[in-house]
Amino acid sequence: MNSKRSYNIALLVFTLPTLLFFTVIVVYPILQTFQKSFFDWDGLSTPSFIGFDNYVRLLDDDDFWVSLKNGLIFALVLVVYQIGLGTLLAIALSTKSLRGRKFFRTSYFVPVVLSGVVVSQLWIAIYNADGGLINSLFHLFGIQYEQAWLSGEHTSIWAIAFSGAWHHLGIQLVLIYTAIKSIPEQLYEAATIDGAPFWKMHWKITIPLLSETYKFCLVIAITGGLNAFQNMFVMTNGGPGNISYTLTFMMYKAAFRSGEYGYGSAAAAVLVLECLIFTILINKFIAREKISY
Amino acid sequence: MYKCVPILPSRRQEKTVYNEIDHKTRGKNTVNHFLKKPATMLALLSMVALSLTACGSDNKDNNAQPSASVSPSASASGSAPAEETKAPEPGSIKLKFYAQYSGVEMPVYDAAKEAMKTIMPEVDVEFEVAAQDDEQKIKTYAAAGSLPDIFFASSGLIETLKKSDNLYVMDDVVKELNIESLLNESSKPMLWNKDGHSYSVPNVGQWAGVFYYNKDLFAEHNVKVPTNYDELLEAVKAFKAKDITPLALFAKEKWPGVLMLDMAVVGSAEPGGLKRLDNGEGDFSEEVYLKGAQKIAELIQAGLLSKNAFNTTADDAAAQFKSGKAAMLLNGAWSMAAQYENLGDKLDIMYNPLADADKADQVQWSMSGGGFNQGFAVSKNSKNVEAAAKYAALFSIEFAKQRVIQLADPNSILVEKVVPTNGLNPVQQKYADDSVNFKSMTTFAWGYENAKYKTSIEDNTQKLFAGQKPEDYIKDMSKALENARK
Repeated sequence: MNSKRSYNIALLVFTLPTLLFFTVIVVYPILQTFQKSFFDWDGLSTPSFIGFDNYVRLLDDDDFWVSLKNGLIFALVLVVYQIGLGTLLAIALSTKSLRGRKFFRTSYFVPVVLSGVVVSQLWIAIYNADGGLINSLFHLFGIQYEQAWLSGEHTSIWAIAFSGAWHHLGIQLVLIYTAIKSIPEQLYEAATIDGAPFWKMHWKITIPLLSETYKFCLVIAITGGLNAFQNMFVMTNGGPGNISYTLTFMMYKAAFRSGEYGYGSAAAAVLVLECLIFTILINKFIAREKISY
Repeated sequence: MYKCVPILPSRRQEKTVYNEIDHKTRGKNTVNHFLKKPATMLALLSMVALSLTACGSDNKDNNAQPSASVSPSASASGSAPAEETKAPEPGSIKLKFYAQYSGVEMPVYDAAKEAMKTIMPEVDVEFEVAAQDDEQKIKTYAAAGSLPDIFFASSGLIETLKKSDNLYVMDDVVKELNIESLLNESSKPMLWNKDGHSYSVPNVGQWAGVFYYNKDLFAEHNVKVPTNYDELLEAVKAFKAKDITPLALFAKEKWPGVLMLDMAVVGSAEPGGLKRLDNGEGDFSEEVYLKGAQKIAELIQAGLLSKNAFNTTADDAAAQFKSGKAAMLLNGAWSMAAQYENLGDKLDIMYNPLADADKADQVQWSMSGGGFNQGFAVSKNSKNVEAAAKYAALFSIEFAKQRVIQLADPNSILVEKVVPTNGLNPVQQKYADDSVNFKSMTTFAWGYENAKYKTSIEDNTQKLFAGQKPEDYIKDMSKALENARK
C-alpha cells in the first residue's frame, strides 16, 4: 500500500510541472477564448457581454461556411496524401530488396526541415499562372489546361493543401515506417512460407497492425488540416476574396484586421470543438480492438 | 584456449574502489565539497547577473524634466518662441519610436533625428521597424500596455486607440508649438480628428493614387493614351491583343483593387468615392457604385490583368512594368521617384482614366487616395509623455522637410519652401504643378476608420477583380456595410 502510494506520489511529482505548463499555455487560453466569444470586444476596450450573438452571426456569415469547407478539404488532402502515400512509401522503404533506401528516407524528410515560408514561396513559383512549372509542362506537352492555380475559385484550396501535404509528408512517413519496423519479421516469414503475395501480405499484416499508428497519424493530419493558416497566409493572403479562408484565417481576419476579437474568438471556439469532435470520433472508431497475431 | 580474465580488481582499481567507498561511507564532507561547487557557481552567476542588470539600467528614473528649447528648425513666420532653459544632459530621455524605418525612408528618419538633436538634445530615440501586419503588432503593444512612446498611426489605428484611451491628446502641444502655422492649407485638416482634437501630427502630404504608364509602349503599339473610361477599355483590348498585360496590378495586396474601384466611382462624378460610405453616408444601392463595379467587371473581362495578378507583389508588378511586359501600373504617387528610376523619360502619369467620357472634365481634379488624418502619435502611458509629445510634433515637421530634401517629395505639407537636393524629375514636377488644382481627395483603404468596413471592402473587391458579377458584389457589400455600421 505504501509503495503504491509513494508510486502515485512520484508519478504526480514528475508529471505535475508539465501538466502545469500545459494548463497555463494551452488550457487557460482555450477557456479564455470560449469566454471571450460571448463578448463584443475590440481587444483593447472593456468587453460587453452579448451572449450567443457571435455564434448566430457566424451561421449567417459566408466566410464561415467557406472556411469550414476549406478546412475539411485541407484535412482530406493531408489524410490521403500523407497517410496514403506515406504508407506506400514506408512499405517500399521497409523492403530490403530496394536499393538506396537510406537515400530515399532522407530525401523524403528534407521538405520537413524547410521553413513554411520557403515551401510556400517554392510552390508559388510552381503554381505561377504565367510560366510556373505546372503550366509550363502543360504548354510543353500541348495540353490546353493552364490554370490560375492559386486564384481559381475551385483550384486554390486544393493547390494550397497539396503544398502543405507535400511539406510534412516526411513526418507521417517516419511514424508509419517506424511502426512497420516494429512488426515482427516472423509474421512476414510465415506469410511468405504460406505463399502470400507481396501486396496481400501487407494488406493482411502490415495495415491492420498499423491501426494504432494510423489513429495517431489521422489525428495529426485532420487537426493540422483544420488548423491550416500559414500556407494560405503566405501564398494567397486568404484571397482572392475569401476563397482560401480556413477557420484560423477567419479568426485572424476578425481579430486582427476587423478588430472584432469576440467574433474571432467564436470562430476559434468552433475550430477547437471541431478538432475535438474529430479526435473523439477517431479514437472511438479507429483501432477499436487491439490486433495481434 | 581460454583467455584469463582477472577476477579481482587490480591494485589501481582497488584503490579507486576504496576511495569511492571511503567517500560514500564518510559521505558528508566529500558530498558537501562537491555540492558546494555548483552552489558556489550559482551564487557567482547570480551576483554577475545582478550587477549586469544594475549596469544596464536605462536611467529613466534619472531623467531631467523635459524643458529644452522647442523652436522648430523651420524658419517660417509664426514659429514658436524659443525658451531658454538650463542645459539638460544630452540623450537623458530615451524614447522608443515605432515607425516604417526601412527602405527609402531610412535616410529621412536618420536626417530628421539628427536635426532634432539640435532642437531637443535631451531626447534620444531608438527606432523600431514597424511590421507590415495590418497593425497587429502595435495593437498588441497597446493591449499589453506597452505601446512605444511615439508611433506612426493611421486613421483606423487612431480611432481604435482613441476608443481604448491609449492616445495622448496633442492639442496643447500643437498650440504651444504653433504647428498649424507651419502647415500649408491643404495639410491643415490632417492635423485634426473629426472629434476636434489632435492625436497625431502629419508627416507626409496627401498622395493621390495614379496610373503610371509607359509612353513608348503606347506609341509603339499605336494605342491612344486614355483620358476616359471608354478609351481605357479600348487600350486594354488593344494591349491584350498584342499579348501585353494592360495593367500590372499587385492584387495580392487588397488595397490597389479598392483604389481602382474608388477611381471608377469618383469618375462617375461622386467625389466622395468609397470614403463617404465609411463616413456613414449613402449605401451600395446607389447607382454610382453599381456603375463602378460594372466598369471593373468589364475591364477584367477584356483582359485587364495578368492571370497571376493575385499572386503578384508590388515588386513583381514594378518589375513587369519596368521590363515592358505591362503597359500601366497603379500605385500611389509616392512611387514616382522609384518608377522614374526604372523607366526614365518613358514614364508618365494619368490621374483617373476611369472617368465617364461625358464627365471627364468635371471630375478631372477629384482625386482618389490621400485624405486621411495620420501621423506620429504618442502613447498616453509614456513615462515621458510631454517630452514625447513635443518630440513627435517637431519630428513630424522635420520629417516632412527631410522628405522633400532627401526624396524630392513634391507633396510637401509645409508652408516653408524646401528645395530637394536632387531636384524633381519631370513626372514629380508635373504632379507638383497639378497638385495645386486638386479639389478633393478620398482615401486609400488604410485610411478607412471603420475597421469592419475596411476589411469587407478589401476582401469583396478582390472577389470582384477575380470575376465576380457586379450585382453579386453590390449585394455582398450592402450586407457587409450594414453589418459594419452596427
